[in-house]
Amino acid sequence: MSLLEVKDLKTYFYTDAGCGKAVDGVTFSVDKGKVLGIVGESGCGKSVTSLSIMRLVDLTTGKYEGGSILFDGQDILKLPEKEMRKLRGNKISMIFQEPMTSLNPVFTIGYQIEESLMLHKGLDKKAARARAIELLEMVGIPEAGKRVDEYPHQLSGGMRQRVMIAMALAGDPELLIADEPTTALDVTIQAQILELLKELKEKLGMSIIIITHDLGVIAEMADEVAVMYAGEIVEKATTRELFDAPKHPYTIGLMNSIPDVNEEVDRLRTLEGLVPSLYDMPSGCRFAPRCQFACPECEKERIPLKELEGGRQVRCRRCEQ
Amino acid sequence: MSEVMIDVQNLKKYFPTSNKEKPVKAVDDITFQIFKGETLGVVGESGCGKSTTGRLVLNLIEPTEGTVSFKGQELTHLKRKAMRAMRGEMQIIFQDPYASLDPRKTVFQILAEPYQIHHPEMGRDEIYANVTRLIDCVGLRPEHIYRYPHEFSGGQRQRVGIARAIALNPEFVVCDEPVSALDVSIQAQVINLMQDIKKEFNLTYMFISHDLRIIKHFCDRVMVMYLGNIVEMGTKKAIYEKRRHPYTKALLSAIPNIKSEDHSKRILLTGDIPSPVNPPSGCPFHPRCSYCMDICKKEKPCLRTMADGTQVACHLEMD
Ligand SMILES: Nc1ncnc2c1ncn2[C@@H]1O[C@H](COP(=O)(O)OP(=O)(O)OP(=O)(O)O)[C@@H](O)[C@H]1O
Ligand SMILES: Nc1ncnc2c1ncn2[C@@H]1O[C@H](COP(=O)(O)OP(=O)(O)OP(=O)(O)O)[C@@H](O)[C@H]1O
Ligand code: SF4
Ligand code: SF4
Ligand SMILES: [Mg+2]
Ligand SMILES: [Mg+2]
Repeated sequence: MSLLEVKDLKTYFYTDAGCGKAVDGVTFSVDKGKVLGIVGESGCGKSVTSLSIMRLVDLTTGKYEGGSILFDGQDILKLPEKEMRKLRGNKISMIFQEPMTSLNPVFTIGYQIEESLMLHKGLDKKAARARAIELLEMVGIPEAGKRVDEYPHQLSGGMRQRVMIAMALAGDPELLIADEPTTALDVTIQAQILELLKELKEKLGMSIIIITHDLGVIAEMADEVAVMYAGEIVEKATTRELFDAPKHPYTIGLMNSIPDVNEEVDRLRTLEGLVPSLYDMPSGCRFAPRCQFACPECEKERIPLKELEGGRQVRCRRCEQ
Repeated sequence: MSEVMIDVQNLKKYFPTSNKEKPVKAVDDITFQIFKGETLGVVGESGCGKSTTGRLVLNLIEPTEGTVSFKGQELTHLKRKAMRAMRGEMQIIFQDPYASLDPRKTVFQILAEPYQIHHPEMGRDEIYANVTRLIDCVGLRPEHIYRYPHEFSGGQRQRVGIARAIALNPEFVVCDEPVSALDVSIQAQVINLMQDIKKEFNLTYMFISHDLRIIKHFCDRVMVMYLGNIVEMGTKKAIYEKRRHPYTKALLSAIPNIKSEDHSKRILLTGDIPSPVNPPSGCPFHPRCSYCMDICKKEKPCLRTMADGTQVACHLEMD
């Protein structure tokens, strides 16, 4: 059964430049205990999608223009803020892109976790501290009993990211959204964090949405992948299907541009051109200006996301059978 | 062996901390050479001293001990003026193309500056001709020269950074994470560009990156650093195939694999990176090494040269 169902989500920004359709009709679902990966170029709407699920989009310029986000059957977009606050950090948690900005530098890490436990779980001070230490141990912080009283700047980047994960786990979430959880880290620490997330998923039966532009991370973690381009999902498939046979020209270009460690090539294959401006989207296929297969037909009207045999989905005229 | 371009001998860089007795040992006694025309890759965990090494090699910061020579000329105690003359021949490309470009200057101003400083005799027309040649060389369009950095995408900004670095026809360029801030699809464009420029200008590169796939694609030799030390150095082939040092093994096994689902061969390091203020006794890698022996805790291993020329700092028996 689906824990989360996002249907035709539209999150737009209204600025001096006009209306920016950052997320423009995105549909996907995440089953219980499964991992969905979201990949795509910088600015394609990955973070705005996850912020929408958390209902944390900046509403001074942003607006949820349509669609629904069903969590356990309940439409998040219709919840009063008070109800939403109960969900956030509790049943749905998020690890943000930059760990240092989401930890408060003036409080010890223990204090920050305990606060959240007292607020969401109604624990008293003593129980909260014990649980905080337990959480820090769970994410592999050595000497958690001592580290709990340290400040964020006393920890290394990898440890800070673990603390973030511990905080996100404080409310026993059913859904964890991890936005680029390892981008700031180097490979050996990245491997530790991914291993940790996998272990937690197995142990706690959480569902995870993992957002990254690193296809290697996706290959390792995700059951299913959604590839985003310019505010839309352009391809969705199981991770194996996608890596074995990418269909959308953008996905193919993305995969080709990564050097393969087991292969010698003279030059890297590139994906020429730039993503279209948020405020000046092509009216037809948004990838057309960079697509080597583009033909006038492609530029006429928006291309729908079509389901192929076996259930995978592609937004491309060439792939329609 | 071809001509030595950069010769680094027993280089150390200690940064002071509030505790005088305990400086940050960012680079702790390293010796290596870079040969003319090669690309030397530098890899290692965050904080292991890669950027500091790059800056020391260019004499942008002063070493605590040791020497750096460029084409036989020792830089360390060079007079200011003599160093300035040398600057044009040695350049750096930084990680963050935005922070390293002055936001108030147009691309033309940014690229004209090196000529104005180093070639005061050049007239405006000549500078203009040079700048347009540079712009063309890095794949930007002529109309781009009157734009400001913020009007470019990350990949385009990095092209401006590259153009600036090659303005004075340098022989040697340090590239400090030149593509880390860029999207995967843009990374490939910039790497190809750097490769073309290398050929065209017969450059020598020191290429710092934490992306082991890109290092493999781009470099001839690789230097693996750990906590301010060189732990392994050799040809790309030897490093990637032999993986002699336990840290190199762990590092290379941690590259997320796209083509296969088998991650069982991955070596997971436990524990975090130790602090360069308080480095472990003996082998700096010993607290995380699964091969650690008694001697490793007491004695620091020296770099030993293997039959194929690879240098490895480890007490294990190996060939
Ligand atoms: N508060 C905002 N006001 C206006 N535009 C915004 C705002 N937040 C995001 N955007 C725009 O929405 C688009 C999608 O942004 P988003 O942060 O989702 O990208 P992303 O896919 O997460 O990229 P990255 O990989 O760089 O994190 C971008 O063009 C961005 O500039
Ligand atoms: N100016 C400075 N003052 C004090 N310590 C410094 C200074 N510059 C660097 N360090 C320290 O020296 C060590 C090596 O830093 P360096 O920037 O060379 O690492 P790096 O290998 O480039 O890391 P990264 O991959 O994160 O860029 C780090 O512990 C760093 O904190
Ligand atoms: S619809 Fe046309 S332009 Fe768009 S990706 Fe497919 S082939 Fe390319
Ligand atoms: S010297 Fe010892 S501790 Fe260091 S890498 Fe070799 S085996 Fe491991
Ligand atoms: Mg983002
Ligand atoms: Mg650095």
